[in-house]
Amino acid sequence: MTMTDDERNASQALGRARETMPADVHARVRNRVMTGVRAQARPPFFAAQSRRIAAAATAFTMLGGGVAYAADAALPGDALYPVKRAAESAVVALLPAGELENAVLVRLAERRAEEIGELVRQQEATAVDISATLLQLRNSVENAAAVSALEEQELVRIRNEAGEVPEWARDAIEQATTVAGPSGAGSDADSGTGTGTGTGTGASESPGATGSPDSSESGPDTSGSGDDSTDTGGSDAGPGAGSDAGLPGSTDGSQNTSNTGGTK
Amino acid sequence: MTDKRLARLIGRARRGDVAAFGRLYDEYADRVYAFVRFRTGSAHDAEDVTATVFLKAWESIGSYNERGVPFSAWLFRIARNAAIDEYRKSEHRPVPMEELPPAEERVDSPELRVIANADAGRLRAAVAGLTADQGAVIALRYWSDLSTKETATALGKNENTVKQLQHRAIKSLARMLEEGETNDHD
Repeated sequence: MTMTDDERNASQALGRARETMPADVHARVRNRVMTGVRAQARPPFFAAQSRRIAAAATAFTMLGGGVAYAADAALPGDALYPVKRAAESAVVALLPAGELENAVLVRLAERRAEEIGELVRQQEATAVDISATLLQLRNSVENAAAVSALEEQELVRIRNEAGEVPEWARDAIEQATTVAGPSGAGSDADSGTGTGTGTGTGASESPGATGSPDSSESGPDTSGSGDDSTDTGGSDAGPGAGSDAGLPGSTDGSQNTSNTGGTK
Repeated sequence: MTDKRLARLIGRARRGDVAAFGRLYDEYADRVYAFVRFRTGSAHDAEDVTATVFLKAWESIGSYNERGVPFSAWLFRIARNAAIDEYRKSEHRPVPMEELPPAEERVDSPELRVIANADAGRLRAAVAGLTADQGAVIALRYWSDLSTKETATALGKNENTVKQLQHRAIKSLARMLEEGETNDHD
């Protein structure tokens, strides 16, 4: 059952009745929103974390400063990722021994797991980036375990940071976060600065052996990660949008993907 | 914007990337505004509610699960709640719940032609006269470009209910427009 002319004309009339957001209102509201967003200190990333992790976050903020903040969201393969890792190394190098050091090292492992999850889900990352980050995850876990024995719940929390991932990635993360025990050799390869406890032998396993992704399933391509910073980002939805939205009884009643060329 | 790029922006925003969130604002602001406008008494109120929607979205985007509901449905659920809050504040009328009859297959062509021939201002006024649920469905489907499924998720209803609401809304709009025309001629 296709849409009749009457249905199409009525849809178009309804679409034209849409009240368009004036450009000056768009800009004014954007300014309000972004001012409010910036005023909230690091909300989503460290929100809902435990107090211990909050302490680690504070250490990053204090010691890493603005550069670390700017690079915070970078993923392996991004231009800012080396900056993020360098900031982490600087934090680790300056940490006093004790609970905070342990918290930061565990947090670093969580960050690696989180990066792996994002890389896998975005499907834009290269297999090399994913494999390398798996290796870094393993190194981070070993570094943390070398300072203080990791409890199973900490390991589970690290794994959970990856979020929902395909089975091969979950297995690889599980393998990378399985440590022999608190005496396991730590590798300095992760932080670059080390913690003074690693023996440098922990990185003997190849990235592939930690479960490199099967590209036939996840499809990480080699096109590199695009930088959204060049996106002008403007919405192209106009007053005529919604012109062919399905009317009741029309067969496309569940979708109207061609309306604006917008987000769907 | 492609789905992949959108997913990337959402991922970055979830990790606290302010610039990525700004891009999401650019992508969705017009459609959120169009939706909240029909529920708010003035353009100024719509502006306030749109800002509130995005600030609330930022506060909770860290817990948004992209595997759960589509981002647009998640965002418009926030928009709907914010619009209802604003609506109750101004208290123009109660927010009625509807008893829905079985869905009919087609709206008659004469009714569709009444809508097709109405000008934008009359249509907007007629949509404002719909029940809250019917109006929300029309606004989300035709002005915010959500699919039936996304609309259902945003409103917390099932797809069949949304189709019925849309069907009844079209008939109500035609009736209101016809009555308006009759009154004009009197």
